[in-house]
Amino acid sequence: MSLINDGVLFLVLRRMRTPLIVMILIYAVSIFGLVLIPGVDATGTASAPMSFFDAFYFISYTATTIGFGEIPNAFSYAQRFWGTVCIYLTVIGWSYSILSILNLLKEEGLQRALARSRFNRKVKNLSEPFCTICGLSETGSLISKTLDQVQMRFVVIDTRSEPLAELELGDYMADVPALNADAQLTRRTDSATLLFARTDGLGKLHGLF
Amino acid sequence: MNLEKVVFGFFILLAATLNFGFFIGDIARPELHYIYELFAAIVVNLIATTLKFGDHTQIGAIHLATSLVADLQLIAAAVTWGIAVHVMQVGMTPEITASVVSLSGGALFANVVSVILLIAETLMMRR
Repeated sequence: MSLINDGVLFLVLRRMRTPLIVMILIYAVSIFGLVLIPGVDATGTASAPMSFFDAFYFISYTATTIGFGEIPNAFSYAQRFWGTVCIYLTVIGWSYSILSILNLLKEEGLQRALARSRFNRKVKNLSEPFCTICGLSETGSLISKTLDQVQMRFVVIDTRSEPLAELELGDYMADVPALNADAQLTRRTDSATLLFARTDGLGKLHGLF
Repeated sequence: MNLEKVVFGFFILLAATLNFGFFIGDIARPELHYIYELFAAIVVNLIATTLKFGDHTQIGAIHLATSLVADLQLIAAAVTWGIAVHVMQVGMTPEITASVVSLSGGALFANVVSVILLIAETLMMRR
């Protein structure tokens, strides 16, 4: 759970609502059809339909494309017709669910939530005092180079993504946790040792506080 | 009127009513507890649970918790039924029926809590 914070979990759950409901409905309709359609016994006379358990078992291995075959008895033609419908329905349902998950992974909101939780984890794991640099313009990067030289740990918050990308390529001794966010809106609670250096777009140092 | 709210309320109420319909009747008489109704209750409960996913608020969290309890109880009831009929092959004896119906009674309690939450939430809203 430490890897995924609440924000990411809730976002995924919220987006998975429709695919999950579609899957539940497809399973329900398929199973309900199977418990209504009469079967056939070895002599060819009609017999009782499947029980709920048999139907759930059949749909479970069919939907997951495991395909054990016609269990417990060979199917009647009516059951096979319905079975065909079930196969296509469940395949469509699974494809829809998987596509939704893939779409969700690409989404910007989720990526940002994941980046934030990664950043928070890294900061939490910093065992020594560290500085926070808000805004990595000219001054900010000078400060960060100096801090790195005196072996002081620091984290970086910037509204723009380009300086953070350069930070990854930069030649730093220590690993630098970086977050693409507005420092004024960022909540940092464990800030006992924080040194704030705020720079504007021109790289002018606004103040240390 | 918000269609999403209508759907949400509909599934929560339907989950409770189907659950009640299965539960009502002499606890040990299998002919009074229709297995199709248990199936419908499980399906609607699962849908109600899914609708409650992803709500950050305190009341949303309790909503989800009550639904998960109801799911657990109803699935336990269905598994009890399946084991009695297919594994033990004793059929619906009075003892088994009582056990299935009482499990669904537990789910009914959770569903009633869910409905109370829904009503409380509605009454708290100001125009």
